[in-house]
Amino acid sequence: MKILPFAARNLLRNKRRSALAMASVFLSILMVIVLQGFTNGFLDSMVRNYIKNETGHINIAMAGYRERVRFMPVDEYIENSPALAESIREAVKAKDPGAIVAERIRFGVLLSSESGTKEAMAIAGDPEVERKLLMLDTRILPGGGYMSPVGETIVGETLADDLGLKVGDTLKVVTQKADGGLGFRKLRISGLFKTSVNSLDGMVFQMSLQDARILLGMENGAQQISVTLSGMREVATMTKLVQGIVDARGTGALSVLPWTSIGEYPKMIQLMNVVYYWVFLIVALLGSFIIANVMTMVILERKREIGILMSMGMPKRKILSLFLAEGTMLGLAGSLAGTAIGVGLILILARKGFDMTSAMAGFSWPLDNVIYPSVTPGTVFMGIVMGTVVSAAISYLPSRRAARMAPVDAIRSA
Amino acid sequence: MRRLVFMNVFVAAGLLFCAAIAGAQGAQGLDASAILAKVDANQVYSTIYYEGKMEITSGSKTKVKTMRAWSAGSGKAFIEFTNPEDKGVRMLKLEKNLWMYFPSERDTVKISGALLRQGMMGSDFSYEDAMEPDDLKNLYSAELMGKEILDGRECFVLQLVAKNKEVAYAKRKLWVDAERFIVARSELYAKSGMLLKISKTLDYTKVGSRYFPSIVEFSDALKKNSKTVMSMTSLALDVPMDEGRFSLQALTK
Repeated sequence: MKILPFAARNLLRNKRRSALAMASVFLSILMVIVLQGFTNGFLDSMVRNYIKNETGHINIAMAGYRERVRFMPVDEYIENSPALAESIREAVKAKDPGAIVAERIRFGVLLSSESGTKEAMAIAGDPEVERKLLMLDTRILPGGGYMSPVGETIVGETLADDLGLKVGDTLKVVTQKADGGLGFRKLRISGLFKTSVNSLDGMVFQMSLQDARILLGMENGAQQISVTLSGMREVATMTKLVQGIVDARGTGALSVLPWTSIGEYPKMIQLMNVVYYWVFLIVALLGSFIIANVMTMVILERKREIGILMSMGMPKRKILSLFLAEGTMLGLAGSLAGTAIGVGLILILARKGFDMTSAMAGFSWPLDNVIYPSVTPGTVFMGIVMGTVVSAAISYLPSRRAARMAPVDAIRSA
Repeated sequence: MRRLVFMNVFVAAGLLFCAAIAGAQGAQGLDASAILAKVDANQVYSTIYYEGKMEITSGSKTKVKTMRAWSAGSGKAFIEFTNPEDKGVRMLKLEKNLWMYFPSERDTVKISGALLRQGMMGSDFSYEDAMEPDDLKNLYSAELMGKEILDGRECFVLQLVAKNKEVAYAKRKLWVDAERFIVARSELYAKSGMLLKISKTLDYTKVGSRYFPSIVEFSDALKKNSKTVMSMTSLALDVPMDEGRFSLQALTK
């Protein structure tokens, strides 16, 4: 007797029972896949934004800058940074053509207007390069435009409101220069941006690297050089490559670090990864528990059938194989359906994004206000394997117990 | 006569420094309050003018800033920087307000917020220090802790505690020269007891019957390997001074 066709016939014989068991597997796997998709999207957004906005995958700065990084010191800067950035760009792009090498300066300022003064943070870089990194050009409000390389700035909408400024007005920027003196520069506001992240809209403005160098008296320097790669895989290799270029420059004062070694933020992301892992594990256990409950009920309901099969001379091994096959088939079908629908849902949401603007307004970390859930091959594999294995295992255990009983006891106990 | 407040480098980098002015008087039998009154009394000048040089050392780097400074009374001061990097930058203090004029943009900005707490022109004392009044006796309660020999000279050691919360430093410890009544050393503390700033008078000039500190070293206790040495030359006290100098119009001239 062939087990698999027999098992299939059994499943089709009681369609309602089979549908109930399959639905439990389907719902459990769907829940697990969607949750995994959202946590992936959330963490991906955090990592991606941190890398492109803050450090790059690899960050080069003076060792002294690292020690006082939270004060954003401007007196510890890389001299002749364009030459170093160009050397790094050539070497990195040879291996990763999509890589972006950016010189940047961040510093605290006092902004002044006719209506008062306000403290803020300046982010300075090459405006064209920052189109691919900060991407604030995509958040410019109607009536304004992106900045030109000299003499212009884009300002957070709330910050501009606080200063009573609008597009076309002059922003007065005062800050401590690299030599400790006070620097002052006037910039024309070419546009206002709105990200819906309070800390950005109310505290930040973008200026060009050229203007920042004049303001800070940095001449040809930059506070940091960030290298943003096309993906995560080559970070370690590329860090070594960049370190080699920096070493060849012959200065020991520069520090080359991968993004995971800079500040507390990566540690927080790692911690969130662990927390999400445990949440996922609990949800997966909950899903398994639902599958187990339904499958156990289904098998125990069929004790009489097991007793009859034994009394008709069917060997225990074959009975076990039959129920194992049935459980596996139900689990596989439910898992495939759950994974397919879950992945489909995630792909739809990934295209449109999940708008969390209102919930994220108070966040200070670099996170998109639209979350794009994501799915990986690992998630698909995990969903299918989990549903199938749990169903098979849960089918096996109660049917083994029933098969060990005397046929007459099995028939009576049903 | 009005009290000189804004008198040292930035004329009032304050009590870090100005308390270091004193006349030679006998010290025996004085209590803490009387010693403090004598230190304060030695600061009574109507106006001051000087040319200053500030050597700011941070690690292995040293920067030099030069300036000319005028001050009148307790609340008015005008400084013009003369070193090449900051040439023409001017600073006006009127009571609790501070304006800076930048010749590169030909514009004036009122300074406020965190910038006031940063080191003035990169030095070890902040703009906020310069805004402090110098009336030690009115601002602090003093306690005489004893006498110590400092650099070969006998000094009273005074512990000062602020009478109100508005002062920048909640506690101070002063070493007052027992003969000259100048502050030879000063330590400034936060309310928590953390040491924030230290000043040492390195040299004096005798002006009339008083000793005036001409070279003073400041250090920020929170910065490593950092100090600022301020020296004053061409010092002129109680000279006639045009009131118009202490105005926003004068900043832009």
